[in-house]
Amino acid sequence: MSTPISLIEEALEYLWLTREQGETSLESFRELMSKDDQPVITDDVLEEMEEKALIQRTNGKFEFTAEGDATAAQIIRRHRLAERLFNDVLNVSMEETENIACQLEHILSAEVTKSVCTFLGHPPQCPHGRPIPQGRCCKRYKSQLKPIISSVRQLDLRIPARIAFITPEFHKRYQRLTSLGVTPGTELVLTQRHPSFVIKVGETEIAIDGDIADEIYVKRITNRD
Amino acid sequence: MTHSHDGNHHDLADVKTDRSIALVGNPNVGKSVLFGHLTGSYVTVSNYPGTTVEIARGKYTGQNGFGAGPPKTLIDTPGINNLIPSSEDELVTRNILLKEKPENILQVIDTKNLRRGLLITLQLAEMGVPFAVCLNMLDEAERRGITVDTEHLSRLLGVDVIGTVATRKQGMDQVQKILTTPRKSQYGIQYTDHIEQSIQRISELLPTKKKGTQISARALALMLLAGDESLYDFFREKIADADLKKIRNVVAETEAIYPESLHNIITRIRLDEAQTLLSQVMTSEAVSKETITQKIGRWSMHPFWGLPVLFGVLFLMYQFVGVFGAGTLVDFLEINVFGQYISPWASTAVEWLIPLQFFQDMLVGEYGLLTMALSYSVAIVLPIVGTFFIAFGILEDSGYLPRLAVMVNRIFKMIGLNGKAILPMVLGLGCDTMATLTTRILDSKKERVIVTLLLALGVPCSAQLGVILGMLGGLSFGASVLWAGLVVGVLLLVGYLSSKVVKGRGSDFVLELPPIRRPALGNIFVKTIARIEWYLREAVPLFFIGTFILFVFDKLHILKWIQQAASPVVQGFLGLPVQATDAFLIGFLRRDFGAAGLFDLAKQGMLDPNQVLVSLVAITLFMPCIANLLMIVKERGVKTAVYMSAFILPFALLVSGGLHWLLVWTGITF
Repeated sequence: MSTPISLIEEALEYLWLTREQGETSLESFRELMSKDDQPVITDDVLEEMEEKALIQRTNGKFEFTAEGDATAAQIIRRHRLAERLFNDVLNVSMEETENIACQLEHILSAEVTKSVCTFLGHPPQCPHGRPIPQGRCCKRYKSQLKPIISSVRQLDLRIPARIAFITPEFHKRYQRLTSLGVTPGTELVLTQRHPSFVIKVGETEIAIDGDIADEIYVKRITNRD
Repeated sequence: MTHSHDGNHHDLADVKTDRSIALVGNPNVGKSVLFGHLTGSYVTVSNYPGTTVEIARGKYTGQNGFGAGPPKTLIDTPGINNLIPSSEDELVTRNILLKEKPENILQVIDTKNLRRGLLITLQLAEMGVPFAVCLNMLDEAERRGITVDTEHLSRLLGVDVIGTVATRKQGMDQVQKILTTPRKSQYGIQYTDHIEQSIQRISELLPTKKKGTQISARALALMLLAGDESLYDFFREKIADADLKKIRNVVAETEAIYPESLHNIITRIRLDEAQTLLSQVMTSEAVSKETITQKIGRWSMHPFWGLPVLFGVLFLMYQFVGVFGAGTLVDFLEINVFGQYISPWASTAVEWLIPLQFFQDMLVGEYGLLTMALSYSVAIVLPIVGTFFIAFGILEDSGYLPRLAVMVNRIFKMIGLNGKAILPMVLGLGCDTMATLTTRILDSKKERVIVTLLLALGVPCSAQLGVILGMLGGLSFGASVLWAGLVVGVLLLVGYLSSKVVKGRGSDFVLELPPIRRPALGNIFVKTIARIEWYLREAVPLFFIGTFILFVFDKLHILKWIQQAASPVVQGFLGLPVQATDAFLIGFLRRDFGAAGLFDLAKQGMLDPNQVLVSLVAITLFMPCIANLLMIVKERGVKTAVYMSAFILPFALLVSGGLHWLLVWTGITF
């Protein structure tokens, strides 16, 4: 009886996903896992999980215990936060993001998870639009409905935001933006996306390319922080 | 040097003015308008960063009792966003401050963009130069609910600060008053400890006396730390090589401490300081009401409504330049003034004064300098570019041009350019020669080459466009669409291919959009005059040289020879009558004459509709006029001009020949 922790965590993750789809049968759970080419979870493993008081099984159906639910939520949370970080902020491809997220979900410490969550502004959803289980840090910021850090491209029109950071591909680009007053800490408003992105910084309107809009990260301004 | 520049109008090292005042400020803050008021003369005011690269100097004597002392030189410097130069304009302005030692500096700030202005103010304070600040465009700021406590700002900075509305001449007396009391600001910024230590170390290495500039050592040290390579050139003769090396080491060591560039860190600290100042002197209340000009500004960039605005503007411009300028005015000047008076008079006078046939031909013959070059450049091109300058000036001062760039940016990105390139292209519809000169506003060499090529290849100038449209009018609508589609298609294709072939990276599209403003007619007028002067100086000589070359060709019978050599191609490959050869050849000198030659042939019934279409495509894509070619040589160099010609000539034949054979093969007739 010594199933590796990572396998149990994988099983918890998929049980959560199954439940998220409104299913409670172990059959659906196994289907979902095989669809993603995940290792087969034997009955032995499930039994061990039951012994560890993570889940309960009745008539081919499963249910989380309170502890199992909390543990699974943390795994899902780490996975989806990692997705946000790599895909949104670091522009890593979704495929590669998935690979990394699958590894990170097992190893991120509570403290790092909290930092990532705070850095991203306690996002409520993963890039696929599924909910990210809230951590304690998020509950303090419950008023947030949308991810706080996003690129200018993703920003809603006419919503004031503060520049968090700029990741320019070219140094000259940064200098130009800086001299126009586009610097971290400055407030901006996106006024249009088409036919070109136009941002307003103070009373200065500036038209920028889409790829520059991707490089300016902003934080939505809420109750005047 | 970080900047290599092919022109020579930035060479300021030799300019010495002991008593001068420099106007300094961000782009579009009204410097040039102020300059005009103070000097009585005028310089191009532009909404477009880059157009005022040339510096205007005027004599300032002082008016209304402020005229004590000898006259001073007033310098209108190019707009800048930072005194750590990252553009040519910024380098020029920085160099004026560095080398010319103006005894007074007037910083002009757009009040509603005070923070950006203060970034420069803080640098002027740091430089230890005497200056005063003029908060301009108070009216626009007021309409947006922004008020600035100028007195408080003046106390904080320790220099004079006043508010003005330059376009309405408000506050001009005060401007003159503060020009008499320049002061140095004691306002200082504390940087991070590491940076402060490095400033100290570098300052010690800088020469204390004879440093050749009035700028403080602290400011110089900060410029060097921010990575201003151009300064090393300035210091080369003033500091020993060993010390320069030490300075470079200090810069490198400091750079190594920080994860991002020092330029950014220093600018950010300054902007933070500007923000601190701002919060003490500026109050803004939210003004929810959008003004009508703001609405127009928004519509003109709207993904849908922007298009009707765009077409409306182009239509009005065509009516003014193409119909009124190229039609009414040209007819009047060419037929009445030149045809009836000047040319006959000139012929008579020359024949009487110079009995030699050769010189008579040179001056008043078929390719005569007076009959052809003068009448062409004055009777035909001048009214067209004149009306075009007026229209362009209105567009420029209204703030529409950058919005036009916003509309077309994505299309231009496909051909390796960005929205800014629309400016020379639109200008090309007026005169390609002039447009080639204005490719200077583009940021990279790659863009300049591509736009020059596209202008030469397929942008018909208004002289030509008038005749082409006249001929298309006689054809079916389908033929016109085919012509336009083919020309636009060729431009896109060649643009796309050349963006792959021409080396280098295009430039970023980061464009400030000044607010939509109602242009002041006075400004447009003086600006147009200044530009016409410029046209007479820069372009007209090229028409004379071009005419002279043709004259020589004609005398040596080279023209005849070319005609004979080209006719098989024209007849066989393009399927046109042999007389069309003349039209193409003349088209090299005068694009509209080429088109007009074809027009005559068509009128005489020598061209069927298909032939008209083929010949129009050929003449549109054909070689630019000789003045344009000379301008390409001047701006891009002989080699590039030769390459371009070697491409355009066969390519134009290939496309029009291809069209001919396609029409023959498919049996389509128009």
